[in-house]
Amino acid sequence: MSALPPFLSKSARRTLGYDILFMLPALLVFTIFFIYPVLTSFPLSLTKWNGISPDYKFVGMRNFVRILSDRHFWQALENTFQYAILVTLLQNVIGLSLALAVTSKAHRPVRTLFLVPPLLSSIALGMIWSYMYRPDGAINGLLTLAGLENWTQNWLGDPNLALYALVVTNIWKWTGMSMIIYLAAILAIPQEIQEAASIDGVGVWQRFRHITFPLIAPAFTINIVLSMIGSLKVFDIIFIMTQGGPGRATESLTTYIFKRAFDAHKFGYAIAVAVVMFVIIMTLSLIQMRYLTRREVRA
Amino acid sequence: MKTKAFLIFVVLAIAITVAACAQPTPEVVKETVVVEVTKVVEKEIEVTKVVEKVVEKTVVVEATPTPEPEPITLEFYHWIGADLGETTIKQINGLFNQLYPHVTVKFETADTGTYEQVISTRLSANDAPDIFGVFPGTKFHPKADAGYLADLSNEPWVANMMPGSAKVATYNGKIYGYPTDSNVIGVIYNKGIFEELGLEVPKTWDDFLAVSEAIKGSGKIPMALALQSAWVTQLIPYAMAPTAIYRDMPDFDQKMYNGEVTFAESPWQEMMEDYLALNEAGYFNDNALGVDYNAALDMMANGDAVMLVQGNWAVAGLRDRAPDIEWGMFPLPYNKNGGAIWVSAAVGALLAADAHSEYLDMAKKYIAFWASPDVQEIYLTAKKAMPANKGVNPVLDPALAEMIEPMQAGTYPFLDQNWPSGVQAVMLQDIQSVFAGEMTVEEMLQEMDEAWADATE
Amino acid sequence: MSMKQQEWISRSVAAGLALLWSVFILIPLYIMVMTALKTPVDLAANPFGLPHELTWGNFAKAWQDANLARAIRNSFILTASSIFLIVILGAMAAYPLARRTHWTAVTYYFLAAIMAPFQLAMLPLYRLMKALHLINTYHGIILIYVAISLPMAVFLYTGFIKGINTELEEAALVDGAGPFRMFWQVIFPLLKPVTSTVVIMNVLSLWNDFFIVLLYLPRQEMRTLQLAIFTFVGQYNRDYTLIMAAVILSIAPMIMLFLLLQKQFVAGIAGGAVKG
Repeated sequence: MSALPPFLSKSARRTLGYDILFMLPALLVFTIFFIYPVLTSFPLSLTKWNGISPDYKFVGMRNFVRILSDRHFWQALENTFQYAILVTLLQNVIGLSLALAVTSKAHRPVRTLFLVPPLLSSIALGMIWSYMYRPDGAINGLLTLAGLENWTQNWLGDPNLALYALVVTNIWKWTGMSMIIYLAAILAIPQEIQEAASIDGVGVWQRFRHITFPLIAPAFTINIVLSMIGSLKVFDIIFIMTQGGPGRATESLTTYIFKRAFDAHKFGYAIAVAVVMFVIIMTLSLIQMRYLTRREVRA
Repeated sequence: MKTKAFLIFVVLAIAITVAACAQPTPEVVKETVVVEVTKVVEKEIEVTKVVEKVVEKTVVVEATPTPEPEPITLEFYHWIGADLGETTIKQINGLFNQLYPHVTVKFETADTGTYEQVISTRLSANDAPDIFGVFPGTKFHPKADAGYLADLSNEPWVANMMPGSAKVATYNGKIYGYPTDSNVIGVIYNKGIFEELGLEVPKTWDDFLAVSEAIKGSGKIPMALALQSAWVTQLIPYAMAPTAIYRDMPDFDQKMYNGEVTFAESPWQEMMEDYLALNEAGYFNDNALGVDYNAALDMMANGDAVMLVQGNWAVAGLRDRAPDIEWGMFPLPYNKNGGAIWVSAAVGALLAADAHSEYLDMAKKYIAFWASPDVQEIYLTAKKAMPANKGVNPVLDPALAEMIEPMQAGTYPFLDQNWPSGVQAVMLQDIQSVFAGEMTVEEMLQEMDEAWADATE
Repeated sequence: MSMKQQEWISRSVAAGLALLWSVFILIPLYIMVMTALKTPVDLAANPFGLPHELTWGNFAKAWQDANLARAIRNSFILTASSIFLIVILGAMAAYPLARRTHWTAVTYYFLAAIMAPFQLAMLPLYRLMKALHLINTYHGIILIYVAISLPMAVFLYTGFIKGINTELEEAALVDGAGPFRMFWQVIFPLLKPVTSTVVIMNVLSLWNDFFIVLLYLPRQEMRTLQLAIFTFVGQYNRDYTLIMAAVILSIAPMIMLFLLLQKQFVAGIAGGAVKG
């Protein structure tokens, strides 16, 4: 950021004024309805408060100290990371593969189909997939029909499977979105480059590795960042499908915050967890963006 | 293509402006009104007799309303609508409106999962509905402490409360809510299959295990269990505890508050182990952690499962699904060392009034209206629940009626009604964890003790 | 392996992958539609096959009982007005951020919010809304939607504007156009691709939101589509034929819109996201 010169010319001052006018409406709405509530909630993380009473008891850093030894927090954190890593990985690997697979115009109807799940709301998604996953639901039914009775599972009821079941639901919904972003980037690559490489006898993999992949780097960045942040903040799907259960097998940071606040009436503590979560996401995103944009530049 | 993209934007923008400026179009309004009116008319035909009865009676009791009252709207928010499909509540509100034509009661509902969250936010933002439901016992205490609940101690219905109901409606010597119904947890069973297998209602724990074994032997599922629905997980311990703990130590909760006893060193250990043993013996359906409340009712209704530990409200759902099956109910006989079986029975909901309501008087009248025997009977009959107040005689469901006699031996309320907040939330999740093998019973009870200590420090 | 072989193999792998994913996408959609077209009895007897007899009554009942006509209207008002404001405010704010380096701090100010969990703002926001008499109002929800959606919009617009040559606007300014006129007449039309991106992303998130309306718009007659479905499911939670019919009705408007504007949808996502 360059510092403002001490004396501004008249035109510079005019520009400054207009800049502020341009930004002001957005800044006002954003500050009043998001930043202000966020900031006023920070002090609440230093209190013991049941969410209802007008009285707060100031407890200093105690909530944060307790978080350190709260094993349910650590489990929620682990679940959230596991979920986010799996979703980010699968959604991007599959999304990119699909994008590469449907580049020709003949594939339009397939692309359309892939874009239907992203249109669904979390409630619709949750209803459909809870129904699919029931012990007597469609997945087990189809497995039985296919003679694979041994493969039937208690998808959402088995603590070792439930989180993966949610990951599948998530990538079912969002992979189409990742695909279309990759596809747009691939289609934006000038045809001549590919053709030239093809004539020069460069193999399929080599072409992808040295031409396509570097050229779609911006799409890669945005996809990774979007799916990472989105899955770290996951709430709706879990809230609707498992409420964090069985036990705490699918408890994410957001559902943990929600339950601490509304089921256990520990708002001060819940907000402290939200603060910790904010710091974690911010750190990860900054690292990620720095790393990925550097890669873009080099490429 | 670019122009098209811009076109959408323009169309959207126009649409927005139109939508934002437009009031609801007359057709829409008319349509809604017609639908509402038809619904009301239908319902009125249904209940004309009751209407007449109520109006007659109440007109005699109440003074005639003042000549030209301003029309007012009372806001009523409660989770019960989710069970009853709102129709019963609308019917009651219609009757109230006949009594006070200038008062409209606007009812809104949410399922229990989201109710507590919405009401908490609304209360702390001073945006309370005039009348709303609160959970009986300790759960409403923070709301009373914060001054959100009106003191209802001088209401006419106070004298009619049954002693147990009064207890969970009282806090610091004041009454904060009207107990609308009483519920009981027991074993709901399929009488036809019991007869087929030549089984008797078990009176001891050993009998109960023998009955389960016999059902298992016949190839059916002895008990349906829906552990995916978190609230269901607690019902078996709730049904055990009155006999296992409170019959011999009625002041167990008080001792917990005094720090003289702990969950870890109480019969809870054995209760939980027996709960798990039922599972290991194969007396529950497979995959209980993946089965929700409705799926469990389905299992009962299509005859796959024979018994179900549930509250009376489940009878309504079962009758709905399988009207031809004869359902019965008996108390869970968890009397391992002999002696009487105590039953888990408790008030289901309290009606509270917003202390800062502009129409507090009318809100109180509305609650008093709920307390009139006729309204109580309409409500309890629909909900298949028991009265929480004296002088109310609803038509009891036959299955429910079978619980009346066993309840004479002794009852204890649902446990969380006496617990500090936060303990139940820990228990519900921990029971799932224990069944999932992620946690031991010892760890669970220790966490419940910690949650208790944390809440009462 | 010859080039030809390589091409052939990679094409077959691609086709296989596309086919596999299509099947994966289709199964749940197929189950959903088939369930909605059955009677409960038919569903119990024949959970996965074609319906015995098409039952359209589920749709009529869901449409009426959940009051979906009203709910769709409510959702439309909220989504459309919010997006209108997000586009206007977002594009304007992004312009100085893209053009002048000394506003980087403001960019970070917006960006930090993308990472903040909404749970952090939830309760104080309720008090604020109450103090401003915005609970149970459309404009209250619209303001929240705009506030939480702006960071992403500003981010996308800033990235896009950075890629636009400054010559045109300089020429316009030299011609004596004021900054506002210059922006709306010269810059904004150039932003069409990224504007479609912003519109699409926000249609998806705002039309489908249910958490915020659950907290701040509890009034029955203002219920949005998602809340109406949520409540409906709560009330008919055992009859999956009705639930699936309601779910289909709730996603139908989005699917129709998508099929109508598919090209723009695809171009829109590509436009902003890739360059951004």
